Parts: sequence; C-alpha cells; structure tokens
Amino acid sequence: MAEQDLPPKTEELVDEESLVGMPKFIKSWRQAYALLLAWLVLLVLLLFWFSEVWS
Amino acid sequence: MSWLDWTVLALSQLLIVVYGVWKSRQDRDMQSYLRGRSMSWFTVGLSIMATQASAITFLSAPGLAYTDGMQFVQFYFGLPIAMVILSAFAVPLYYRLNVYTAYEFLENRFDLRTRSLAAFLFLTQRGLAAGFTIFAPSLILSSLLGWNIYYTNLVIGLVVIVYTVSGGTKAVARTQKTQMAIILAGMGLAGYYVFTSLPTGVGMAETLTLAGKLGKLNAIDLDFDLSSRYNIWSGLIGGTFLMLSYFGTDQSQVQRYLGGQSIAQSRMGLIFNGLLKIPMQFAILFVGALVFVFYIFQAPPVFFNRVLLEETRQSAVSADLARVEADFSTAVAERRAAAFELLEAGEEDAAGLAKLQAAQASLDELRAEAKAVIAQGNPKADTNDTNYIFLNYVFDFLPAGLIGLIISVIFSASMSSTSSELNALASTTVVDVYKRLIKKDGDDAHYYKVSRLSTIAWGGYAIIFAMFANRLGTLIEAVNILGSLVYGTILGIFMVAFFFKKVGAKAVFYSAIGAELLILSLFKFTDVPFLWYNVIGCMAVILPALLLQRLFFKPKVDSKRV
Repeated sequence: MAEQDLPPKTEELVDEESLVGMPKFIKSWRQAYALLLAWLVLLVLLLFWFSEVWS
Repeated sequence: MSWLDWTVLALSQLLIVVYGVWKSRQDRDMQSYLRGRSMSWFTVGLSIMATQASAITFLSAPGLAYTDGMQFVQFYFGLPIAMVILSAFAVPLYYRLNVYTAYEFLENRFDLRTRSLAAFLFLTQRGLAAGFTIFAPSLILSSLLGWNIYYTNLVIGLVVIVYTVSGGTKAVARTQKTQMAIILAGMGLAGYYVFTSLPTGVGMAETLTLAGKLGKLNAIDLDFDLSSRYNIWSGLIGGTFLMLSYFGTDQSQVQRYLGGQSIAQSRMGLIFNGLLKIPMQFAILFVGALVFVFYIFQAPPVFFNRVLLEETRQSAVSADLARVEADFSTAVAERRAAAFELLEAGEEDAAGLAKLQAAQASLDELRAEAKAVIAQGNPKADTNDTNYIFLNYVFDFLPAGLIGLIISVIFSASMSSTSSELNALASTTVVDVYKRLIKKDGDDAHYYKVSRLSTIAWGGYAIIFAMFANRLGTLIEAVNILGSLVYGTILGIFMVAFFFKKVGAKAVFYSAIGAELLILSLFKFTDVPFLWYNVIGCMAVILPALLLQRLFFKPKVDSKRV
C-alpha cells in the first residue's frame, strides 16, 4: 500500500528509523544511502566505458 | 499541426488538469494547500523530477547532444550525493521542526533577519524564473508554429494558475505524476521513431559507431579544466553543491518532499530521484545523438531556427547566406558518402574515418559561418539554435499524432515546473512574510484564502513577466544565471545552520552579504563557469562565518535546539 497517497500515520510521520515501503533486503537507511552511492559509481563507470568504446 | 495533433494535445492536457483538480477537490485548509503531507514516495519522487525538468530541459538536452555530445550528463553526477546528504540531515530536521518552508528553520536556528534574507533571495530569483519558465517554451513554439506568443503565454499561465489555486501542493504533485507519464512516453516514442527512421542497414551498432566517431557520445571528460563547463569534476563537486542548494534550500523543491506521508516516504522520494535522474538525462541526450545520426542521412538545415533563417534569406546578406547554404549542401552530401563508406569498410578503416571526421569539421565550420552571416544581417539575433534542433526534427519528420504528443510534452514540462514555482512562491510569501511579519493572528481559513490569492498574484506576475520577456533582451540571460548567483550563498547559510552549531546569527548574516557581493563580482569581472559559483558562494559564507564568530562575537552558549 506504500505507493498510494494516504493520510499520514502519526507514529510513522517523524520516525527517523522507519523503513516502511522500502524493499525488504534494505535493513537500514545507511545501507540505502550506500546502495545509492554505489549506483552512482556504477553509472559513472558505465558511462566511462560507453565513452571509451564508442569514440 | 493536423487535427489529430490538436486532439492529442487538447485531450492530454485536459486529462492532466481535470485529474489533478478532481483528486485534490476536498483539500480546503492551509495545511493541505501548502504542505500536502499525504504523498507516497512514488508521487514525491515524480513530483521532484517533474519540478526540476522544465520544457527547456526536453528541448535543450537533445540539441546539446547534437552539437556538443553527451557531456551534459555529468552536470547531474552530484545529484545522488546531494540526495543522500539531504535525506540524512535536512529531511529529519524539517520534519522535527514541522516547518512549511525551508526558511522557517533559519529563524529557529539564527534569527528573523537571516530567515528574511534567505526568503527574499528566493522570492527574487524564483519569481523571475517562473516567468521565464513560461516564456522560453512559448517563444520556441510560437516561432516554429506561428502561434501568437502572448496567447501561448496566457494559456500556459492560466491553466497552471487554475489547478495550482484549486488544489495547492497536492494538485501540483498529482498533476505532475500524470505529466511525467506523458513526458516519458512522448520522449520514448520520439526516440524509437528516430531510430526506426534510419536507413536500412544502419542498426544500433552502426548508429553508435557514427555518433561516437563524430564526438557525440563523449559522456565523460576526466580533464580538470576550470574553463570547461561540463567535466566529471565540475559535475561531482560543483554539481553536488548546486543540487544541495537547489533541493535543500529552494522552496519549490523542499515543498515537494515535505508533502510526503512521513520521513520515510520523503526520503524514498529523494532516493528514487537519485536513482533515476542520470539514466533519464542520458536517455534524453541519447535521443539527440540519434537525431544527429538521422541528419547524417537526411540533409539538415544550416541553421535550425527556421524563422530567423528565413528572415536572413530576405535580408541584405541573403547572397552570403545562399553561398554558405550551397557549400553546406555539398558538405552534407560528402559526409553522407563518407559515412556509408566507413560503415562498409568497418570502423578500423583509418582513412575512411579521417574522411568522415574532416567532412564533419567542414560542416561545423559552415554552421559557424552561417551564424556569423545571420548575426551580420541582424546583430540582435540570437544565433544559438540548440533549442530548435529537436523540434525541427519533430515538425519535419514525426507522424501526425506524435507531433501533438511532443507539444504536449513541452506544455506538461513547462506547467509542471511553473506550478511548483507558484506553489512555493505562495508558501514563502504567506508563511515567511505575511504570517510572520504582517498578520500573525489570522485563523486557518484566512491564511488558506491568502495562500490562494498569493498563488494567483504570483501567477499573474509570471505571465506579465513572460509577456514582456521578449523586450528584455539580454536580461533574459541574467535571469537564467540568477539561480547560480544566489544558490551558493543560501546553501552556505544552511550548511552553517546544519553543521556549525557554534556560529551565531550575526556572523552568518554578515558573511552571507559578503559572499553575495563576491559572487556578483565574479559574475561581473571573471569568466568562472557558473557551476563553480555554488562552491565558492557556499565556502564564502562558511569560512568567514567561522572566523567572524571566533574573532568578534561571543561564543554561542545557548543555541536554539534544532
């Protein structure tokens, strides 16, 4: 139900640790941030490879 | 445009507006109107993306890939980093303080003067930008389609006002969700159509070979060069500062993620943006590279702003232009022949490759020559035709129906950015100015009414600015750069607020004034690329603030809890 626009649940509103809606394999926000930064590194490497191969 | 194009355009726009207004019809209080706070991460993420992507994004990016290659994608490298920092530090803080605007936090942390300075910088910069967001696509559409620019401005502006006033933040976010769907579908279909229009035998590998060998797939530039606008370093360092400033302190973005159901949903919306933004920009740029390859086999015009080109053909320099156009046609034919030869011989054929690259260099020179002739015929003419390249392709080669969809993409992008801007301008006006400085004791119904009136007023201001923008000449450039002139300073204020708890209000205020003067001087007297203004402005607040606090002001003992 996380993808629907619903009124906020008070206890979840300011819970800084809440991971409601996140995929189950992500256990903490630190892990989510690490994955996003890893995604950035992967994209930069892919784009570098793309530039090198096709130029 | 055919009746089918008009039907697609009208129906898609009607659907978007009716959906947004209908879904938010029951929200009739200030909390819902200015903050929303009921959106899922998906709505928040799409709303953030739609706010950032204006019509010019979709017109410029393919044109940039056509002229300079894909280096522009590096501009977004700082975005995921900024999403992490904001998600970790800014979002919990804004939620904890229960603020409507980012600037409320500054009064809590420093004082009213610092809050008012930041709000003033935002209202000045964003107020002008809102008019430009309407004007820029109107100018291009009116010049290519012969529409009256005043009516185009008026239609875009009024439709945005109607749904933003009627439903506030929620209507903006829900409308943006549909607008993003139209935008992605339109750009995807256009890219697919360009690819399938390439000659038989030119598949993806051949397309990539031609675009790559002619310098259009150079996504990464590793050289650290301060004079180059886009390289990996300016993207990662300058881009991070710019994105931190834009997403962390610009109310038009802060309002989007504060509309989330909870901290978790707001953070996930930001992360969603961090995941998708670079691939999306890459895809849009790639459409431009496809258009470039398409024009290897199909003769392009020497200059893509066809109205200006036609004017020059009728002017005193018509003979010069005719000569350049004739040479250009010959060079196009040579490039086409060289491309076929290279594809036949294989990309290892050094002589074939040199021939193709020489033909391209000759075409680039002739395009530059044509621009010089146009400028000679009309010294006031804007000879930058980047924004016209993609639309020229659209009008000349896309089938009926798809043209209407692409025009709908441009309308959607323009409206989605403008609606966020009006919504944010209204919030800042009501929360940081009216409610804080003018009438502190009004009830919710009163502030709700003032919020709606403020949206109408800012919408009217944006339309009026768009109407006069044609006559403002070079001021338009200044408006474009204005964001970078103030973002660094605002970010510096927020960075001190977040990370340097011992620095007080006076030190940060005087440092911010000094930083702003420094940035204006850099803009006036140097050629430092604008992305670096954000880094310099931010540092020019933080370092002097630390120094001033240590040397002249008493240690901040009782810092307010943030």
